Amino acid sequence: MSRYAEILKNEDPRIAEVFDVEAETEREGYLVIEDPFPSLAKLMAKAPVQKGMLGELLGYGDQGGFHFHVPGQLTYTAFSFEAVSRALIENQTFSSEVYDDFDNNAQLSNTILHTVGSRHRSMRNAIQPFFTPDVAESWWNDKIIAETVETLISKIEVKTSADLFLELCARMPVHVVSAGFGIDPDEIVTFRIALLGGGHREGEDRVDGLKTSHDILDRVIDARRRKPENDIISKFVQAEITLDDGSTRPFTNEEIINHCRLIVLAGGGTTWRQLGITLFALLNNPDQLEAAKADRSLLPKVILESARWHATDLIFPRRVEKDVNLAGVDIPQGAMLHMCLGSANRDPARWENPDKFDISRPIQRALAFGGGPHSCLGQHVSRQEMVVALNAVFDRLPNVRWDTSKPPARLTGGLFTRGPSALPVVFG
Amino acid sequence: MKVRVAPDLCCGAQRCAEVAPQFYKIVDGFNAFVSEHEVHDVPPDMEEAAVRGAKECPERAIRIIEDEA
Repeated sequence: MSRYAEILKNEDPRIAEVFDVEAETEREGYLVIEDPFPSLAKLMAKAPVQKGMLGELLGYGDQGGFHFHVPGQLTYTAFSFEAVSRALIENQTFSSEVYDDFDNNAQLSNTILHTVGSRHRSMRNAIQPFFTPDVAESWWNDKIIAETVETLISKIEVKTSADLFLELCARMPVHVVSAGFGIDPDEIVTFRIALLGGGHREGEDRVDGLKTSHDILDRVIDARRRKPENDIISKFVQAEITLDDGSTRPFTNEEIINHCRLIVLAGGGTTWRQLGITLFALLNNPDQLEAAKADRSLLPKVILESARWHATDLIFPRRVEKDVNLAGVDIPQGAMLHMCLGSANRDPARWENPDKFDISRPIQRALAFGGGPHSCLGQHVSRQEMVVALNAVFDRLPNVRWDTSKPPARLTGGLFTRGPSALPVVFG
Repeated sequence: MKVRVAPDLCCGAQRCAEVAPQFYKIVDGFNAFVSEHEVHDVPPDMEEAAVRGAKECPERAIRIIEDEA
């Protein structure tokens, strides 16, 4: 057993504190909304693109309380599948550089999240080989995903009840992605807490968080520059960025640090909630749960349908770089665009009965993992984690069902970072 | 060898055109594949490039169809 698995066997009281969707939303200063989907559907029925920030259009005023909400800034919101898909694909017009405006501490600057065009392409090309579908199903699976899920499920199966959200969903992805990168097993939770403190919060917390995450990564990078290992930071150290003129250069320490922050934050911060949403939807639909259990080849489809039905992050921003007409609405250069994935993924023009979670739907591309040049880098690692975790739940927790002695689980959070309140189950 | 692209699955990530530009082209400024025809013949000297591009696709929208023996 690796040291990563040994650490994972220990209880860590910080886990319950960090991995709490509602508390996280409030801690970051955002409003909690129980179910935004009925209101989003009404707005989308009015027009595919509208002037106004999403929070404002939902009736919460223009004073914030949501991610990417800048009071006073001219903002439009795209609701339909077609409008959001186009904005994602045409990244030179609908620019990702908007993220620089929200990253006060530059903790993610010069990363594939913030850049466009050839700067983005040259870095993405260098990083993509670590995250292709094949590498997700072989290297990531064999090195860390299988062992992580085995360790977690063997702790759960000896009991008769559990909160799968906390005991499985919360612990798996942050562990997988941190271990994949080569972060010291003892520092995984500390690193995650430091990252969350580093981005949005004010004051000492933020500075401490930035310094802690920087120092943890700096140590690993220096060690791997001296002696590469079989991990992602070693691959970064050895990778070369090919520039437009054909010349190559290595990643700087700062670029590696910022990409590690980005990927550990994104990978450790979405998959746990999406797996939670998938289990929530299956537990609420026992017939579909039984169908998936009986035919495991359905699992990739189950995950895509869960992500369509309720993605963890319902809104992403872009900056409009030139005057443009989007779905009949003229948007001037300089405006911000809110892309509402939540409504786009339930666009009745594309999906029949879109509010229903239905794993028997024909597969059609949805926007939960984005699209265009910035389509989710880690989506195949994430999907592989979820497939392995669902298989473990089906195989090792017989007759898994809601624990009706506990308060019923809810989906909650803001417009960004949504997930279940808990997943109390019994089995056996 | 032929390739088949499912137009509805193509998400415009443009990975195919990044890793195998000799075979995959960007059409209409954004759509990461030839949009007019779903099935394309692959010239023998392009087979390696076609497979490389297909493996990169985040939506697995590109399928390789091997010639029948």
